[in-house]
Amino acid sequence: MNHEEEYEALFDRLESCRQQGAPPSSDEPELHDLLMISQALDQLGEEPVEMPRAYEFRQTLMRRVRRRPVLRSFSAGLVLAATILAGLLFLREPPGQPSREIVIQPEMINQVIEKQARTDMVDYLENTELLLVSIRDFDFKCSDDSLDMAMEKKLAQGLLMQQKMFHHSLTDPRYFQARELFDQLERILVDVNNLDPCSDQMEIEFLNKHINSKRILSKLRVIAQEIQYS
Amino acid sequence: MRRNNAALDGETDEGLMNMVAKDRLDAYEVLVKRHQNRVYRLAGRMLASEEDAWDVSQEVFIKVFNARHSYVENAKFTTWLYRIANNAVIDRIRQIKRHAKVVSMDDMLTEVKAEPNSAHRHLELSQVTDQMSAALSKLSERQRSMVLLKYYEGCSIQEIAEVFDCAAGTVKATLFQALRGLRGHLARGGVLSAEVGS
Repeated sequence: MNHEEEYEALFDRLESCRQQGAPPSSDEPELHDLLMISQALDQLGEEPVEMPRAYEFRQTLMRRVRRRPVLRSFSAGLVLAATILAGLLFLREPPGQPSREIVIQPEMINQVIEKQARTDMVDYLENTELLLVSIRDFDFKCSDDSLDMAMEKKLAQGLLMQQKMFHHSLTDPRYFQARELFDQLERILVDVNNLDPCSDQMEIEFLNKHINSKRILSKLRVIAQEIQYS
Repeated sequence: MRRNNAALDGETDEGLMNMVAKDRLDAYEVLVKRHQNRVYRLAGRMLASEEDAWDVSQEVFIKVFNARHSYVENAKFTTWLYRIANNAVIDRIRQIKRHAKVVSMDDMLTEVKAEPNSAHRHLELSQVTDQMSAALSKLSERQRSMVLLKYYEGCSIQEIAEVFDCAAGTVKATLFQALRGLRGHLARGGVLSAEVGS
């Protein structure tokens, strides 16, 4: 029986005692304490917590929700107007100077930005893959039940920062599939970043199980290749 | 509008959400009214600041509205809501940490007060309240979220498994481990007299 199965069985036993109101025997002091703790948590949970300014909360929310379509069309109009104005200013020749051909095209700037975003994305995916593999093949232990995750935490923090470099490009419809993966990776990185430097082995096993069940590593490799050759 | 809302009061959460998915704002308002306290309570127990909890609750309901078209018809609404709320709270904790406003997780839990209960002969609640808050703050975010959902929000194991997208067995094992962690912290704080060897 592995740790998870053992804990699961003990939790079932605890729940059964809780439901029947029958305390465990005195030769099970741990279960006895855990039963009391769970009862105490139940009691603490019953304490009412009222939201302050509940009516204002609803009113603010409804205003925000109703305003959204208007805001969207306003923003779209603003963007369009700014683009036209920028275009006019860009194409206008300065007075009193000999006429010159404008050679910088906005498409070229976009291409450079896109290329940089692609390079950043591939770099990020490669580094994330290395991190996930290192978590899968963990071998540095703090103690019998805990693993040294200090380096992984640091890497995850760096990757979360790195993601900000190209986050704006993910709104491009071409990256529709990649966006989903990037969201999943962000959550995993947040989890890794929030781990204790000496983390419980079960926490890491849980994380690995999640990574395996979502086939994150395979998806990551496929998406990295797609972005690289797009 | 008020009359319409009264008619919607008898609707199930799922029925209301199906209407919201069809852009019914009146149904959305009823849903918000019904669940705003629940979301605030969860956020308030994870975050130290009342204002942060209020703001996060707003974000949660905005996300619910924005994601209304991706809601799977008749899927259990509270599970979906808890998933959104849990993610939003964790995102906010990360944001706070980044801005270094709050560094210690000890500060991120609000104090939960409760009356002493005679049933707890060995573990008086009045003694435990502060210690329990401190002990909860020592758990990992996942363990703490699961404990809050199970014991404070009364979610079933299956609901928690759906919120965290994992097996029911994993939830039970994590909860057991969290309770064991709490026992250790309470014993160290002198609330439990039991020897904690494991």
